[in-house]
Amino acid sequence: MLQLDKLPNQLKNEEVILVLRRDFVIFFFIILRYLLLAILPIFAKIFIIDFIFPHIVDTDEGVAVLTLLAFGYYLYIWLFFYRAFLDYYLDVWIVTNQRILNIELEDLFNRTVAEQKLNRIQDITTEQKGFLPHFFNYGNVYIQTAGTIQRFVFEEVSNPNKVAHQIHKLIKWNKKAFPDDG
Amino acid sequence: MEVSLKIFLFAYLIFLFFWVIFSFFNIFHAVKFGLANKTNIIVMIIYIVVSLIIIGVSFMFISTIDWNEKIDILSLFI
Repeated sequence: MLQLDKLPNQLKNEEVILVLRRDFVIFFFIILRYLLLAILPIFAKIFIIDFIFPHIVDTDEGVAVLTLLAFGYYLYIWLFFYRAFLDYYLDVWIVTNQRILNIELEDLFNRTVAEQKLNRIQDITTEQKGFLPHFFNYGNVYIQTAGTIQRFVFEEVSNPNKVAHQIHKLIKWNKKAFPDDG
Repeated sequence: MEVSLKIFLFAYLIFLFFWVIFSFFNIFHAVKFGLANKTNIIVMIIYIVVSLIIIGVSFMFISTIDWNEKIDILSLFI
């Protein structure tokens, strides 16, 4: 497991300042989506099976098949929900006193780790588009760098303006603390 | 058209087999790449426990059914 005191390519005197993820509101809507999927079989039973195919539940064999289908359905809903959680939770942006790290799970066997030193950051902008980001105060933080990866994006993080301000302060501190770096 | 109930049982077991493989990969990913904190570990434990409960209940149900019985597919819908 990734430990915050043993980051990839850990630098000397490096300390973690921020660990950022997408705002919890994003995951809340994912939870709602899967709750809807979980109650879908109940509606299917009431509005489809009982009305259109009532013979299915008249026999023990029909009930057995439907019950197996339901178990299979719920197992896969649970699996995909856990996958959605991992997708949300394993995407992490870490800001230390010396660099920023972007750790993203692309898909099941595809993970990206990108890093950039603070003194190579050229510009930081924030974006909050739409009613929900404004209401729940989350948005994107765009970090322009002078590196191979020219732009880091902290997606849908809480309080993006505060995050940008904190990174600005860290960059200033970093320039004084490590003047010869980079 | 009569078919044995066993076909549905085998189909369920095959689904379960693939489910186990995908679950393994998800848990492997969480263990290898997740942050070493309480949330990650607790959610993983919850996932495993709830999964075992669903599978356990399904097998309890499976044990009550005579899978040698046959089912007439067409009569279910007519």
